[in-house]
Amino acid sequence: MQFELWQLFVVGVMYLGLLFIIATATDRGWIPESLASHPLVYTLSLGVYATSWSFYGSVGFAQKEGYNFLTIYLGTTLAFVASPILLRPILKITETYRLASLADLFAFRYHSQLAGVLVTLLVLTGTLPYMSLQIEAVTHTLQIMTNETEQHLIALMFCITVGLFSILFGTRHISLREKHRGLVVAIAFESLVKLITLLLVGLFAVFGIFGGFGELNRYLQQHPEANAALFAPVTEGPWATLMLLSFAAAFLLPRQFHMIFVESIKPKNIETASWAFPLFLLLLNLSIPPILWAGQSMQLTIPADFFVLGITLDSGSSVLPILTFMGGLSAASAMIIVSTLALASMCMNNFVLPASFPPKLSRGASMYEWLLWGRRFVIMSIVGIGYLFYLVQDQNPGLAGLGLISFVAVAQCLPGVVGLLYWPRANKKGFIAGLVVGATIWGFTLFVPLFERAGIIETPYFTIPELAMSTTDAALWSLVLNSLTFVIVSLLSRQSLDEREVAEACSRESFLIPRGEVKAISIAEFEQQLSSIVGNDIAHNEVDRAMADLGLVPGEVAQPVRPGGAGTVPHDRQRAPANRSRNPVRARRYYPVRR
Amino acid sequence: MSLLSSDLRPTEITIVVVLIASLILLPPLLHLWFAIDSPWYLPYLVWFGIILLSYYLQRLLRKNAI
Repeated sequence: MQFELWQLFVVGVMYLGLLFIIATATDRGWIPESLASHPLVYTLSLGVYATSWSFYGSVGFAQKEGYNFLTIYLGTTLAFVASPILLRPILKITETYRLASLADLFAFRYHSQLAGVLVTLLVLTGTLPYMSLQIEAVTHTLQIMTNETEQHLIALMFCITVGLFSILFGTRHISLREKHRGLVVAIAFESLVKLITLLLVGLFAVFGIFGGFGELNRYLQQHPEANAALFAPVTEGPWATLMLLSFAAAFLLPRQFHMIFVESIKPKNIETASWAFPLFLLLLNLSIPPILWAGQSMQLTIPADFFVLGITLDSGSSVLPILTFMGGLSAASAMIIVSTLALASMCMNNFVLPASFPPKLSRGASMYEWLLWGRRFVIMSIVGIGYLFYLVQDQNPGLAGLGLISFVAVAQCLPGVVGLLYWPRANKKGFIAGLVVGATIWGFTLFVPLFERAGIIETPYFTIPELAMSTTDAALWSLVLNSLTFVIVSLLSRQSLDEREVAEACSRESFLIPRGEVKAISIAEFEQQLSSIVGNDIAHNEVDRAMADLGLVPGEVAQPVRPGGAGTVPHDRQRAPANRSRNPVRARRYYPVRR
Repeated sequence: MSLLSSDLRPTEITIVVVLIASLILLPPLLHLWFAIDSPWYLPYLVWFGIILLSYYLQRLLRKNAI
């Protein structure tokens, strides 16, 4: 079945327009607030993780690497399982200190503008292959559906359209830290479209191509190699490295960081997302093996990366291919829109504002208008660079290959996150040195070879055969050397006082026990020390007020006694009745009381 | 019967669950789940089991937080 290019263009613009209407309706309050802040909407909005790599490329990845393709989602699952000790502390830090991006987070923790600039540069560069992947997927889809040969023109049209929608979505508010409720609901909607479409294509593969699950099982019995081809690469392949990469990508990719932390409306929503988001990913991937086998059984001549679309074109109906096209467009456009918004925020804070602030404005010109136009310009520039990158990638390593290159880039921030949450001694010199080492290895082993393969650079500096290695080897080496440098330099250098204070504040949000020594072991001692600073009366009043807030009776709590020892009573007996703890665990804690 | 005692602190429960999930997903248990003659949906069942574990963890943490 063939379509006209203009038909698909109209469908695409109408679909993006629908997303924009949903966003506007939410922002104007036409969609209830309870829906916009619902945990399931938040969870679905995290589905921006699944781009056209997931939508189209998973089938191709499964054909090449078998069930290794699941690692891209299993690592993410692990990151969300670990959310109480990983995502929630970061969410708390970003909320408390109003940090708008990954670069802001590192600039804050390591007390260094340079750290923010380097992270922005790495993440921006690292996102280019991913953006190019989206453009490639949409262009190739349109080519398959229309037989159109003007590949670069299609790509340009797509980039201009998505760039304009990115501006519409992301520059309606002045503040970079302001929540875009409309964006969250629109992205949640597009995740739902992706999920439903992929499930429908999966059902079509099982019932439309094979004739039911029984027939599918019969096919697998007749072709045992089809099933074996999925399992065999797992025990031989780089499973653990891929898991580590997707673990990092789950929250370090700019779009993920933006949706998880910056656009989080209710912090408690992350509790639901910790199991519901992996469930979303599981459902999204359930159709992949049947679609792969359907494509193989039909002996499709297109690359396996596009079997999702290929099998629907033989359905005899125009509805399923159009739906599939919308699902793929949805996946690609959402990635570009959210990534450019997140990257624009990082570029504004770390490049544009430090370089041009205060702006030289003409009389009567608004600084806020200047900021908005600056952000619009940055968004269009990022999409433009993404398009240029796509143009030079004629010999690209496939959808999954390009995606993995981006994963390795953002994974270089992983040691910094560990330092942020769990190693207060980590310092900016260590972080910057580690990041430079990791980014350099990534650049020379993965990023620069893309240009070399495209025939753009041929200098001897960039064609060192010893540096050519697989994505997973490059990931491993860059991460190991990055971490080692980070640790060694941090141990050999000192933190500034300011940095130490921020490091302590960040690690307080993790589960680490705060460092330091006990200065007061009783209420009386505490009051005495406080009074030396604020005076006796204020100290006494503040201590009484704090005890009242805690539901403790002033005068009863005093001498330190070993927990559970003589002279102690259960904490809940000391509380005023109205404040009695309902938590059985808390109620069992003992607090000392003078008898 | 509760799999994890509620006497454990939330962070301890989380670490235990993450370790269990990692153990299931990382070698050497992979050889069990990904044997060549396994049914095609087995990896998805293992994955679903981990999601259930995560759901259980959240319920436990919510109970402890009340």
